[in-house]
This record gives sequence, structure tokens and C-alpha cells, in this order.
Amino acid sequence: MRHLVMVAIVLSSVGLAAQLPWREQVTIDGDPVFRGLPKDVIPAIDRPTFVSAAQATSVADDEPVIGVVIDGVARAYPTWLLNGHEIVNDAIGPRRFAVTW
Amino acid sequence: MLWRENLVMYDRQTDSWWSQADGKAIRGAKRGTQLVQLPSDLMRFDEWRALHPGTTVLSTGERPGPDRYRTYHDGRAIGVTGRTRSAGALDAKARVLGFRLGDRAFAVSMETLVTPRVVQADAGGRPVVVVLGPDRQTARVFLAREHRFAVGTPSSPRLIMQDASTLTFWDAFAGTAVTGALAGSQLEPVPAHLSYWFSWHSFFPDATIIGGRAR
Repeated sequence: MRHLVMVAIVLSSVGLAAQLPWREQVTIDGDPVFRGLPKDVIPAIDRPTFVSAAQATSVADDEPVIGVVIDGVARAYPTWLLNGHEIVNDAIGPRRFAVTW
Repeated sequence: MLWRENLVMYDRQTDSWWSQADGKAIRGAKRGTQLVQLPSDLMRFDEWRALHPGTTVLSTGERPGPDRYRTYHDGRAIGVTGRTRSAGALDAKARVLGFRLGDRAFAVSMETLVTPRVVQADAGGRPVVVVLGPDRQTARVFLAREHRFAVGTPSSPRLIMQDASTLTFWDAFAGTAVTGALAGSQLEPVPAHLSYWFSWHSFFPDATIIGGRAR
């Protein structure tokens, strides 16, 4: 885990919709932690697959992506996909990282 | 899970809980461990592709549906658990570019960056330059070192800035010197991410606002 590096992107600061039954778990540093769904109901992507920009028909030109460049390799993560997964566990060469939303 | 209205993750090795906004473990065996943040951008796909024509794109085979957070982004709601908190100096849902240098946190008001496009600031004793992205929705932060930057002559489709001492022209968003004495030089990026102000403020209540304006 200590080799994990993170691209923390928090435009929305949301988990799921407001109508979820947010249940208080514990309080940490004075603030409660809420759980709205059981573990892994929002499935992280562990084996991400990628297509070329020309083949990326599921994201429109004006839609947002998270972009990273690591060791000269550029990757884009459409935020509409991240809405349903929140986390992509990824690697470029020996560098492991997580894209989170 | 949510903590301070922001994502909490777990790791499968130790089941520790990790807070997304600051990349820190808040519970479990890894409590107190800090992840390293990498530079990244949140921007329009066409602008990203123009900057990086060789980019690949995450694809899962899923078909896009309506943006389930559209109402949240467009509305006044602060977070989703129903707990709101005072956000201090800026509007709660003002968009800021948050970054940390040393043990201090900073928030660049995106609203006040749009017109000047290039803003130089002192970030706790370290000069930084903040550059607006081509889609005007995102920005990058670089260590400015000894340079004093101003927006240069717009002879390029890309935003150009010029440093006062050598008059070198820089591709501002790339942080790369393109013509002049320093051509080829690269400014060091500072990892940053876009956030709503209330979220950044809830994690970093002492954050210094760059370019803030009274509500």
C-alpha cells in the first residue's frame, strides 16, 4: 500500500444520491463517518482497459475527464465512468497509482 | 463512505480507511499514512486530447447515461448527508484549485483567475504561478522560483507568458519555456485539484485564499 500514489480529484465531494440511508459509523477527529451502501457495492476498477482517443466514442468532446501523464504516458478517465466506480487502480510501468473521484 | 462530505476508501491489504480529499489514512493499521499526490487535470476531453494527442481513454464497455450529479453540481446543496458547515470566506460552492506546499494549504479562487489567466502569488514563502487552462475551467500551479511572469503577446493559440528578467516566452499551461534565453526549461508542477470551497475548507480550515473576493 505504501507504494500507492493518489490522484485526488474532488470536484463533487459526493458519494451517491442524497436519499441514501446515511448511517453514522464512527467519529474521527470530531467528524462522523457515514456509510450509505455496503462495501464494494460501488465497484472499484482493478483491471482498467483503454482505447485510443479516436476509438473513445463513449465520451463527448465537451465532457470532463481526469488526465494524467506519468513517464510520458497520457491517460484520460471520463468522469461519467468514475461516477459509478469512484476508484481506478492503475499502473504505468512500475508506478502504481489510483485515480479517485 | 463519506467523511466531511468526501469519499472514504479502504485498502484490501489492511482494511484501513483513507480519506480522499487529503490522501491520508484516518483509521486502521495505516492511520496517519499520507499518500503522494500526482499532478493531474480535470478538463474537457477535446482540450485534453489537443494537449496529448497520443492519450488513451478508460473504457469499460458501459454506455453513458445521464449525469447523476448534475442537479447537485448546478444546485445549492452542500454535500449529501444533510450536514452543512460554515465555509468561511468564499461561497460554499465556489470552485477552487486546492494545493499544499510544506505544511500549509492554499485555495485559488477559479472565478478570480479567469480574467488575468496568470496569477503569481507567494505561497508561504515559496513563489508560485497559477495558470488558467485552455477550457477556462481548470488550472495548474507551478513553482515560479525567481521568475516574475506576466501574460505575453498572444501570438499563439496557446496562452503565452513572459518572465520579466530574461523575457523568455513560456507555454503557460505546460510550464515550458519555448523561445528565448531559457528555452527548454520546465517549471516544476505542484499537485493540485479542483474542489468546492466548502470541501477544501472542511479539510484545511486555515487555507490561504489566493485571489479571493468577499462574498
